[in-house]
Amino acid sequence: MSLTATETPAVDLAILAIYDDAQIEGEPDFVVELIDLYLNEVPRLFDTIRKAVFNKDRSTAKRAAHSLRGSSGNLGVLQMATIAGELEHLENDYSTVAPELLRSLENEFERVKEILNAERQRRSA
Amino acid sequence: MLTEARTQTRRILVADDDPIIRHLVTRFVQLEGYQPVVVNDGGAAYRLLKTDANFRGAIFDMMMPHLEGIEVMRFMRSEKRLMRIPVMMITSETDLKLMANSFAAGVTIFLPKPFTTDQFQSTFRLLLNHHQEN
Repeated sequence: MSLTATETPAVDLAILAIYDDAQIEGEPDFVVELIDLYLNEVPRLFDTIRKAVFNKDRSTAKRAAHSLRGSSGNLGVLQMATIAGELEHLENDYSTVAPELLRSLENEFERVKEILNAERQRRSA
Repeated sequence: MLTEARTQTRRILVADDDPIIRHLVTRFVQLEGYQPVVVNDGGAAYRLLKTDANFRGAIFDMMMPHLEGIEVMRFMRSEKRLMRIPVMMITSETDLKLMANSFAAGVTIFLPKPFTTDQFQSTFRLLLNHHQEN
């Protein structure tokens, strides 16, 4: 059964909070570091996917989607992980569906950014 | 002599092109009391391993640019000075055949993505126990 937007939260903050276990006393907030890395990395991956889809370079697009799926899943960014997985394993109607999936990812990322920035602020307060 | 030195070292080679996973793994390795030696892709891991075998274990992402984790591991299994270093492969692949082939090629243990702190910890300890038994 595939997951849909209505069944999957944009960000499961409970998953993110698991990494509080890895906090070292006196060091910067580890979860904030992860959020910052993620917010920097995703636009870079989008750029790679966009260029690769435009150039019909499926292997590069697949690799970037794979990376996006992995890091999103690990940080509890579940809906993006699901869409990235669809793009990674896309076989049919590639030239039509791949740009649509990329747009879905970009839209979803706007929602994710708000949630992660709010979490970042809460932790930095 | 070489084996003795290797069992004493706390260095763990970590190769992953994903900065988030790399950051997580680096921290988890530190929390286990080991010293991560971190590179950004398979090619860098390969270049390092050509001159440096002093690692207690290695953690590779299965899918990396330039050289996949499995290719780096195959190189390690072909070199006498590297072949006993246990390798953990991090993957989000669920293809059982691929995993079976990877075990056959010499992967010691897999860590599926996404993973929690606890899952990393238990897999890492199994990796190093395997090392002590061999």
